[in-house]
Amino acid sequence: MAKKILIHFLALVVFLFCIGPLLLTLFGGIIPDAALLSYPPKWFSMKPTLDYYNYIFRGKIPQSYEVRGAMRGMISEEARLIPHGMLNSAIIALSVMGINILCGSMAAYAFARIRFRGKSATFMGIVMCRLLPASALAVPFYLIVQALGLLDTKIAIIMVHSLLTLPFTVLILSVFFRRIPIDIEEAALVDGASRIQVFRKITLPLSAASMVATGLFAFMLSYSEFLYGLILSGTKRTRSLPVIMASLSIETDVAWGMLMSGVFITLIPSLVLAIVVWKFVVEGIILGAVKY
Amino acid sequence: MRDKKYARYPIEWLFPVLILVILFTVFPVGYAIYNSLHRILLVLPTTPFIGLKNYIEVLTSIYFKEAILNTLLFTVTTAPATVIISLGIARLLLTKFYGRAILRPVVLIPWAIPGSVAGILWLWIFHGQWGLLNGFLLKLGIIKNYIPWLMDARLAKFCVSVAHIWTQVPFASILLMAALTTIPKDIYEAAEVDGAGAFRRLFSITIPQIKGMIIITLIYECIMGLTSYDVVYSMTAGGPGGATTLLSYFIWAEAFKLLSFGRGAALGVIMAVITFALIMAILKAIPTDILVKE
Repeated sequence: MAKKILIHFLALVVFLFCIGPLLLTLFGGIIPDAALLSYPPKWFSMKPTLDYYNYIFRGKIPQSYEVRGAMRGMISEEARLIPHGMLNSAIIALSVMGINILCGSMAAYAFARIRFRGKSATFMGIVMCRLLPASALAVPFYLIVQALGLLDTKIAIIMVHSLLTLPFTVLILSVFFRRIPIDIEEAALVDGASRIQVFRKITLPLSAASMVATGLFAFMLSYSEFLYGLILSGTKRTRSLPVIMASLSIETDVAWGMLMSGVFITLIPSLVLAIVVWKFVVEGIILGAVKY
Repeated sequence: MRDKKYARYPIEWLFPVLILVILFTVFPVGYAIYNSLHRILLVLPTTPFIGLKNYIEVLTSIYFKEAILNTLLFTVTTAPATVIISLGIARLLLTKFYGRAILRPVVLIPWAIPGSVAGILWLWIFHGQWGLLNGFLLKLGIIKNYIPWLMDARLAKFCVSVAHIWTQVPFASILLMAALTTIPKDIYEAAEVDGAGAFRRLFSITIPQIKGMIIITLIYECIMGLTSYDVVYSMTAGGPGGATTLLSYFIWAEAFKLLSFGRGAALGVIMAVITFALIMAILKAIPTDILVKE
């Protein structure tokens, strides 16, 4: 009995540790700044408000600011960029996911099924390149993208994110492809099908689930990536969500409640992603066969 | 096909990946080394060759020393802490209890959150003037005045570490959870029959059985610690003073704030060397049979 209570208590602690900061953000986004910043704290002295969300999505300036004109400077135009940043991030992450599934699966198939000279050297080269610390390459990346004339474009960020995620995708997918029984493929090859046909008609359908799963990993990494997003995006046009949020947080004239609302909006896709990744990737594949 | 013949190099399958790898790895590494030997300031039109001067300048600056000490301290504390906490969570998630189906995906959430945003979440908790932690502690009467969590060098280091561990725990938990599920159950049953207590089972069965995965997780977390960047960026911006300036942040500041690309590149090369040295040291420190078995 005591053991049962202890387990449930620990579960509660872990639950609060993981989700607590998120709930606090939700709280911070609906309490007016005057109550939020009071000392000693009187958090519940004022009515909750949706003003900040209204401003971010519709540009409606919060009432409390109109009353006290002096506070107008506290509203940052930057917060209005959040919906656009979300769109940017979604486009970038989805493209990265697509590139990973397409190019990654082709390379992985070659490593899993074709015998060729220089195979292990190529494979190690691709996988090991991820071990280089990202910030160590930041400067040359910037100069290359500049030389290609792609600074301040989504293409540059998509390319770099794809590079960061592809080694992992190739590694995982080549493991999956090896698990598929080779007999069907060989039968098809004997019957005169080409490699490409075998890949498209047999391998891809058989491994669709694992490809989606690794694609989701790539999506997640790209959606969260910050360093290159910061360096390679110049203007508002291409900034991804993490970059916008970081610049909001260090900008001192942003209202705190505004920042918190922005953060909470950013978190919603992450929440959905966590659930989807758990279902498809963790339960479906990593824990897979074992029923626990 | 199973015949012994080698096919020709399957370039049509590999070229998209190879182009990216060559363009953004092979070339940049060469370029970084080249840059690090030249004086490259964006404000100057020429880039003269200056040998190892960038390295000497960087290595002898007190800011570098501070950044490197910070980074090493950060890594050697957060990586083991993450592994220990994650092992506990992984074990918990494999135990049956009410609400487990809810808790499992929830554990993944911190991982799905961009690091820079996670920094803001924890800033909200630790903020010196209106942070929630201060508010709670004051209301409960534990403190009389607000504690400047992020303004004190030592406390700020601690707070940044907490935030970093928070973002790292989910992935490590899943790796360890996957390893835990491979341990045959009958070993535990036999141990229990023999009267082994919980601690004994942990140290004599669980840890030895998943040693390989623990080490892989530890190496991964060391890399994450050494290259951590975004949490610090939005939480403290390296402050107060340089107390939470980690190497990655330092490189970024050198190159993109001070616009000294040559020195930034030199720092990058130094960092790559340190990362590899650390990975090699960990691999050396452990008995070789573990990785062969894996």
